[in-house]
Amino acid sequence: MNRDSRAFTSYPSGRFVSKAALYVGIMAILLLLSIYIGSVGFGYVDLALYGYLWATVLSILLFTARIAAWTSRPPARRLWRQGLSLFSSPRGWMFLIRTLFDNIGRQRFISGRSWQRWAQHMLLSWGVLVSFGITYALVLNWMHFELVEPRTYSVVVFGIHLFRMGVDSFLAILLYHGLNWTGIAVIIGCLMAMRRREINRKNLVEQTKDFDIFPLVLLIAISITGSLLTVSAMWMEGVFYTGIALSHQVAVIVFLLYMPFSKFWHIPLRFLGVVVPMYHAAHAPKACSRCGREYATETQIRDVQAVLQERGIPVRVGGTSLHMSDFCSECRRVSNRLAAAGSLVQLEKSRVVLQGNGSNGLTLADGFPAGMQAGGAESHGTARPER
Amino acid sequence: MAKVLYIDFERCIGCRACMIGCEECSGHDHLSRMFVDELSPGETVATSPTPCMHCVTPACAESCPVQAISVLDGVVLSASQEKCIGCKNCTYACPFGIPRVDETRNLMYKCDLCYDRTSKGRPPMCVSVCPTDTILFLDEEEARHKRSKPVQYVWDFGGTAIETRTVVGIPDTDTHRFGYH
Repeated sequence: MNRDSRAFTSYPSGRFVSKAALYVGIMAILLLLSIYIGSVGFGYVDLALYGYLWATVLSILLFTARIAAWTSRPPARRLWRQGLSLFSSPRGWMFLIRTLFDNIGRQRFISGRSWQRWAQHMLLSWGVLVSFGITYALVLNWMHFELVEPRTYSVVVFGIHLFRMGVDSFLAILLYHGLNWTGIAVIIGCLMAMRRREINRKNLVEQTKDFDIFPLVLLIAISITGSLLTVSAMWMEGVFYTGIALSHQVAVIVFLLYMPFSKFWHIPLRFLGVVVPMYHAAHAPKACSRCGREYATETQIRDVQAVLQERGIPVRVGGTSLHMSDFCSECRRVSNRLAAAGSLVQLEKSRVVLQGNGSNGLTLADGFPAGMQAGGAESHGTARPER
Repeated sequence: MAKVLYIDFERCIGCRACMIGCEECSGHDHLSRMFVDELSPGETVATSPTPCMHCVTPACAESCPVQAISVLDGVVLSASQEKCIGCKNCTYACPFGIPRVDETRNLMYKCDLCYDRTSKGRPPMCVSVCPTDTILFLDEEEARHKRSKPVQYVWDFGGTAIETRTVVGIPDTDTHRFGYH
C-alpha cells in the first residue's frame, strides 16, 4: 500500500528547527546530569552496557525532536495547554490521578473493544513499560547494586541507598529476572496480537508489514534473545553467551532507534489522552446554533475554530460570525443539503436565516439581519444524544 | 482512474439500506458510517444520505491533536486505533458533520470508502445495497462532469474552499425540474 504523501499546510521550518534544537539541547543536558548523579560522579558506569547507553541517549533525543514537531501542531499544542491547566486546581489533580489510573493503569480505553484486545494490550504495554523502566535505570546508570555485606546487596538509586536485600532472597530473584518476567508478558501479548492480525479481516486488508508486523517481530526477538541470556547463564554454563548477548544488543538498539518513528510513537500520545475526560466534563456546554441541542463544550468549539483558523481552513458561514462547528453534526449535514436544494435554513430562536451562497456553502439569507454572534446563541433545549 | 462516491440525494427514498449495509460491513462493529437525515421533518418526507466527503485537505485530520487520521490513496481513513484518544475534535471540525466517536470503544469512526472492498475492486457496501441508485461509485471524472445535473465538489465556506472527492448532485433550482434525469 502506498501511504498518501499529500502534504497538509506546512509550518515555518525555522520555528520547528529552533524549537527542536532547544528541546534536544535541554534534554541532553538533563540526561548527562542524571547519568552523573546516578553513577555517583561516573564512579559506577557499567561499561558492559556502553552500546545500550549511546543508543538510549540517541533514542531519547530523537523522541524529544519528534515531540517538538508534534507539539508545534496547533491542535496538539492547545490540548497540551488544556492538560497543563489541570495542575492549577485540586479538582484537576483528582481528575488527573483518576484518569491516569483508568487510562494507563488499567487501560479502560481499550477494554470496550474486546477482552482479548485488552488482555493483549495490558501484557504488551506493561511488559514494554516495565522493561523500559528497568533498562533505562540500568543503562543510564541511575540504579546499581552495591555489595555491602558478604551476602547482602544495597539497591542504590541516584546515589541514595534505598533498601537492602539478601543476594539470593525472593525479592532479589524477582529483581534480577525483572526483564525475564516482562519478556514473557511481551511474548504472550505479541503472539495474541499476531493471531489477531492473522484472522481479523479488516486488519488483513489494512495492515502493513513495516508498521504493524515488524514491531511485533522485533519485540519477540528482543524478548527471546534476552531470555536466552538467562538460559545460557543458568543452564548451559554460558555456552553461546557472547553471541546471544550481541544479537540481543543489536535487536534492542534497532528497537530504540526505530521507536520514535514507528508504531511505538503512540505511547506518548496516550498520555495526552489522560486530559480528554476533563476536557469534556469541566467546561460549559455548547448549544447548537440551529437546533439548540447541547452537543459539545464551548471551550472545545473555541479551540477547534482557532485551530482551523491557524491551519488556514476556517469553515465559516458567510455574512455571519458563525462557523460550521457552531452547528451539531446533524444540523451541518441537513443545512448543507437544504441550501443546495435552494431552501432557507432557519436557525431556531435566533431570527437568523441562512441560504446557499451559490458556491456550495452557506451565507446569511438576503433580507434577513445577522441577529447573532458566533457562539452567542442562548442554550436551548436539554442535552440529548446526537443522531 | 480513481473511483469516487456520487450522491444524487433527490433520488433518496429514506429506506436506510445504506446505513444497515454499512453497519453489517466487516470491521464496522454494527456502527453505520453513513447518515440518512430527514431534511424538513413535518413539512416533507425528503431525506438525504451523507457519507464522508473525503476532502482533499480534511479538517478532521487538521484538527486531530495526535495525527490519528491519515489519507491513503486519496481516501480519508478512520482514526488509527492506536493513536485516537477520543477527543472529538474531528467531529466538530468537519463541516459536513461526518466523524463520530464510539463512546464504548473510545474511538473515532467514519466512512473509509470500504477500503477493504474498494481496494479489491468491489464497490462500497452502501453503493451495493442502494435500491434507487442514489449512491453510485463512479470514475472521478465522470462524477464531476455529470451532464444530467449540477454537481458539488468544491465548497466555499465563508471564503475557504474545501475540495471533496465525493461528488454530490444537486437539484436544478433554476427550473425546479424533478431531478430524475
